[in-house]
Amino acid sequence: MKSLYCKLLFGAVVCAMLFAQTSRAQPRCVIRLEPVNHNRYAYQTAEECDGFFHSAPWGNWGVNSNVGTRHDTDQFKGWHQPCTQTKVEWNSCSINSRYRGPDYLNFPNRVAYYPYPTNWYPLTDSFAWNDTVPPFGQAYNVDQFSPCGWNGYGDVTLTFAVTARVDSDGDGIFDKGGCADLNGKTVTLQNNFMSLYELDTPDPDDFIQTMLFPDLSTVLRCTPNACFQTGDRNLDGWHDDVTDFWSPDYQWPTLYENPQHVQSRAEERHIPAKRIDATIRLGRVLGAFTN
Amino acid sequence: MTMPSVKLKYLLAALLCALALLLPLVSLTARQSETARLTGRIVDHETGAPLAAELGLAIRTRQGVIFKHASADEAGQFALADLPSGEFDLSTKHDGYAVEHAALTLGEQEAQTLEFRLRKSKFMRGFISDIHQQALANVHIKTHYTTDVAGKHAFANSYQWETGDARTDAQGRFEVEVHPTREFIIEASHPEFLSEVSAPLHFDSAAPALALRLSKGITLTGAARDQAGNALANAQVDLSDADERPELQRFLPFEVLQQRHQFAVSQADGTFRFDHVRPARKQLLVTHAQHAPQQQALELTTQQPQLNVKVFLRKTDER
Repeated sequence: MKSLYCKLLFGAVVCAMLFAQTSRAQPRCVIRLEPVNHNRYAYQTAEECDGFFHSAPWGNWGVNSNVGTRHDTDQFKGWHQPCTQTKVEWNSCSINSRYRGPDYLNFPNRVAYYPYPTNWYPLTDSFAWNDTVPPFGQAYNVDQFSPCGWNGYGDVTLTFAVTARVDSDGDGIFDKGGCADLNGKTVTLQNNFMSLYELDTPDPDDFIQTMLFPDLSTVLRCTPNACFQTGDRNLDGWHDDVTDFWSPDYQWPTLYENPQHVQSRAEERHIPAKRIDATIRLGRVLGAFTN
Repeated sequence: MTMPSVKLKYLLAALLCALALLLPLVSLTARQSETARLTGRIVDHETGAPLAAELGLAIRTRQGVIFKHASADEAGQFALADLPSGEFDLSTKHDGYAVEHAALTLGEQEAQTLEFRLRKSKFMRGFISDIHQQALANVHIKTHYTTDVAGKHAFANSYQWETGDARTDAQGRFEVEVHPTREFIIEASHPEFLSEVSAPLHFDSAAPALALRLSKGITLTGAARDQAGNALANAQVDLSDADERPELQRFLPFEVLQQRHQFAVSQADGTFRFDHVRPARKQLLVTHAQHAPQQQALELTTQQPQLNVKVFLRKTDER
């Protein structure tokens, strides 16, 4: 009998230990990374040139990428409406002579109330070959530019098991463990791409072009309670110069691919695949501790 | 006078020789660390038909995390070579199908084979309003699934194509894709409101539309000062929940978690501000260079929608 009690007691202790193990909170650090695009341009768009289903030539564009899928939101804002609105559209059919007049383009400055930066032209993209475009209304290779600043086009959320937060000097403030386990770690996004779609209902979305980009990287700065990216001094999660389209952190594409899978390098002249241009970078990086 | 110069030349030559010998070794080591390999197949769960799906890879290495992206071919096959060794979390991506994960660890020169069987995703509908039942447009809706990072797999990852990126329309309505079998919660967030989450849900086509109400929360303002009452600029202010919320432990809704640890930096006049703070017991921690950190406990309630605090920091050399 005594032996049976011992066995039962031992079993109960083991069960209690196992239960305690599984029910104990696991400290975690959850980090979200949000790349953004900026410096958005369009040339020779050719989607939905008929007006049967659509409000040709206008359309909201979505982005399929390595960090997200296309949605009818604000992934690649255009210029047709004021930037404060949602779903700011592009001229999706600028190859058609009906849609190349001044009412349909913002090259070089459609109307004064769109804050298109006339003085910046021809510094509107990274390559010189298309800087000699004739004035609007006459051109085949026409320009559109979005003045709406940076746009998030996807995100990725990482969850790490971390050690418990520790108050090592007894001042009541955590100074080790938690998210601080990840301090100094590098996060790198490889195989970056954006595939642009003219979004539609009820018919399928139209694929416009894919852009391939270099790697994006940041070093995490973490306290026990949170993580930020290097370059975020006001601790709001956003890099301090995310609004600066001149920032060298914004990366231009290295390769363009059209719907027929023709690829062109960025420096090639008269690029058949290049009808859209844009830059990307890491915009928001923010981590929070939880038990 | 010439002797030291000759010695220096010999030393330099020896160093260069050593470098030349070491360089191939260094590059060999670098190459060896990217020799893991993953192959596999992606098919429809019901029919077994191959799916040309995409794959997002998050790889935890000693240096940090690397994200890669790949695609399966028309036969649903994928082959990923030259991968770094480390802890992997793979997520599938295919239009109309729910995301599936695989967690694994790959050592140097190790190869593994995987098969993903994807289920068609379902749609969940809902409605978001403010506390006065007024419909809220442009509310960001995300879906969160349970995240288990205990034990062997101490790391997990979810992309936007899994959490979703839906917004409410002018009538406050939304529709999001969800996994047909996994448990999830819906998170609603808007820059002018406190983020909220639903109770845990399973997809049920007969269930009524989900309804969530968002409140504005509390505004907390404050000022950081030294013992003499002078304003302290650039003080880091950390406002954290003092208590855990057990309902959040399984699903980790990011915007809600982020509101549990809010951060600010004091302005030139020492002031700081937090909007949309959840009523709860809080800890306010203020840190500043050459000053001892100061921590205060706060009890924030809806009876006091605006609160102002002053925090005095002592120089670290003052005892």
